[in-house]
Amino acid sequence: MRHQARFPRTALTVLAFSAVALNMQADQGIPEITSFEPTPLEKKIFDGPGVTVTSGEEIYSTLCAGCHMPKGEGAVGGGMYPALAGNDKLEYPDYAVFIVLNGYKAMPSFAHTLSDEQVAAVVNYLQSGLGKNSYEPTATVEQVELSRPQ
Amino acid sequence: MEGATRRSALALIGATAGSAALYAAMKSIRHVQPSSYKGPIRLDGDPKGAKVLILGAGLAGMVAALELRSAGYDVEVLEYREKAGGRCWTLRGGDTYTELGGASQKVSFKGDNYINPGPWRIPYDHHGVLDYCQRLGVQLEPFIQQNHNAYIHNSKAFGGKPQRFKHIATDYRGQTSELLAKAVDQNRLDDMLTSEDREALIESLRATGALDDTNSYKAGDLTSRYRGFGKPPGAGFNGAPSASDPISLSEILQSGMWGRLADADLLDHQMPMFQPVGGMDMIAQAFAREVGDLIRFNSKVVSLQQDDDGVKVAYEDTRTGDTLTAQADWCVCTVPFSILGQMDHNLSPELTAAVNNVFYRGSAKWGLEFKRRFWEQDEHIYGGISYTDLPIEMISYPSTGLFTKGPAVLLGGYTWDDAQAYEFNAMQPEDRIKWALEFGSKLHPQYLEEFKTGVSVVWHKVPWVLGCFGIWRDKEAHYANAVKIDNRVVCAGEHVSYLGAWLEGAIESSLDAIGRLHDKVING
Repeated sequence: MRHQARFPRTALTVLAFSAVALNMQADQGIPEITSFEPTPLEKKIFDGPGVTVTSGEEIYSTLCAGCHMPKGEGAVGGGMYPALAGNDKLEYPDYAVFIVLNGYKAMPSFAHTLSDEQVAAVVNYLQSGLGKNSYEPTATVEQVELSRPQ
Repeated sequence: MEGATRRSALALIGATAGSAALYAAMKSIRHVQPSSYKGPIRLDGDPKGAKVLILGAGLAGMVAALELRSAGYDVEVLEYREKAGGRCWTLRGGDTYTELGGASQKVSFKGDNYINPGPWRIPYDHHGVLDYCQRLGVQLEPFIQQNHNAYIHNSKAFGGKPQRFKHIATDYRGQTSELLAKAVDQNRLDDMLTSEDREALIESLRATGALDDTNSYKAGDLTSRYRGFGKPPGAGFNGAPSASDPISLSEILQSGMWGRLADADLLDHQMPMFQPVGGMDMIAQAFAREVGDLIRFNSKVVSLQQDDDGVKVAYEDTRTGDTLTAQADWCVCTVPFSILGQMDHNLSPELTAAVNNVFYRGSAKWGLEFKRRFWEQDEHIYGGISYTDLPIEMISYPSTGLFTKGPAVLLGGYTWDDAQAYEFNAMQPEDRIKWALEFGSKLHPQYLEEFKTGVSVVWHKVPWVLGCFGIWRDKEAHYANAVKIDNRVVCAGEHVSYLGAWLEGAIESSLDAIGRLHDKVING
């Protein structure tokens, strides 16, 4: 499907960071930023095409957390994003693997955004690691491979 | 290419040029349907006081409210937000925007400076939007899409130095014309061309590609008149110009910079484009002046039930927490499917399946205010768009207020790529601003010195839509069921159109829906 094509960030092999003081005032509504020193994770995010991070926690915090929130608490507005922390649908990996690969209702599919290894890693993190979730992390790369939409 | 389908053409591009080209080509083939707007809608016949409940006060909802009331209906509109317009939205100094997760951004742009987080440009053939603007007195001005003096930037080509659009465009066209002209001249294409056409083709390539009479594209007065001079023509003793040196075809091909050359040739990006003077929400404000008295704001619909007698809706007043109900004979539901899919409803299984078939695309946009228009003053870029391979994807310079002094706001990025959109979506506002400055400074080193303030909107975190626009997983299977009147409810909005993500899609979808609804009310 064409909308799922990735833009290759071919150029982003090495980024030179400008540790220059930014003229950003707290009273202008945004916390003061005196210099730009990306964290190690921040440096990794844009270091190559597509999703470059590999661990479940990194994938969660740089992709999933945007909607499901940093601690998996979900969010409510005109609509809602379900909480993943304390979510008993995560007891077994199948449901989460299916949703990540196929999407569900308004949630897009990540089949073209994440590799089998990345899907397994993030589902394992959802099962055990996110919030106080402490199910046995049982997602496997083989399972993801077999579950991919044809 | 005989018999080649669009898909096989895309496969060919992908195979030979890599996925960057494929993505650019796919983008180019995205929404290309022209508007089918036929002029103001006529709803003849007496609806005998029938009541219509409209869910959502974006453009689709307000078009329905305006036209149905004037046709004699009793109209009530419920809107989740505190104001009208939906994604037809503008942020200005003094506004505060709170995204899901709770982060608030107070916009501190100077004076009339603004950014449109959603729709920001109107194609000349989106006749519905343009007609309503004229009817409602919304003043329009040109939106500069194409600027030959803006940049194309690839951080891995030309030592990361941005190139002027006119250089890449002229040299690419000139040298591909040269190749073709020489191939024809050397009789390589004789089996595809008559001798008359061979001559005419060579002549046309010389004219459009700036080739000399040996079919060569080379440094000189002729090519400089298109790509720019080394020393521009002037007056006086030293007024004589000098030619500029073209960039080699190989360098252009390998840079991938041709990827965005045709962006402004897309039907929906062709000049002239338009924007409302003062911000896109001038359209929303104009509609709200007409139908604002029908809208109940801060009303979150939680349940939509229908039977053969009518429609019953439960909604929560978001200020008091009270749950209230509204009833009507009919309902026009313009709530995005991302929200409708979560609602307690008894829509038909067919419509429910259609609602659940649509997912919502992410996207990030930045408005960055700088102390002065350095892009105009230092680089002679007046409006238009620079493209980059960096995650911000583009920088668009304001089309208005040209040559003025003082702070100005540009669009500091507009992302489409899935990975990037998700990554920016997961960041907090101050981090998004840092990155937009970091990446933007690769095109404009003045960024860090001149920056004042900024705001960004990541669409998956927008509380009232949960995404930028709807995309069908299987439009063929479900679209007709979304369009069809479902007993007493009809859906409308950009998601129920072939003009997805455009204001025109919302307007035409609404007109189409109320036309059919009215016919059902009058004729059964």
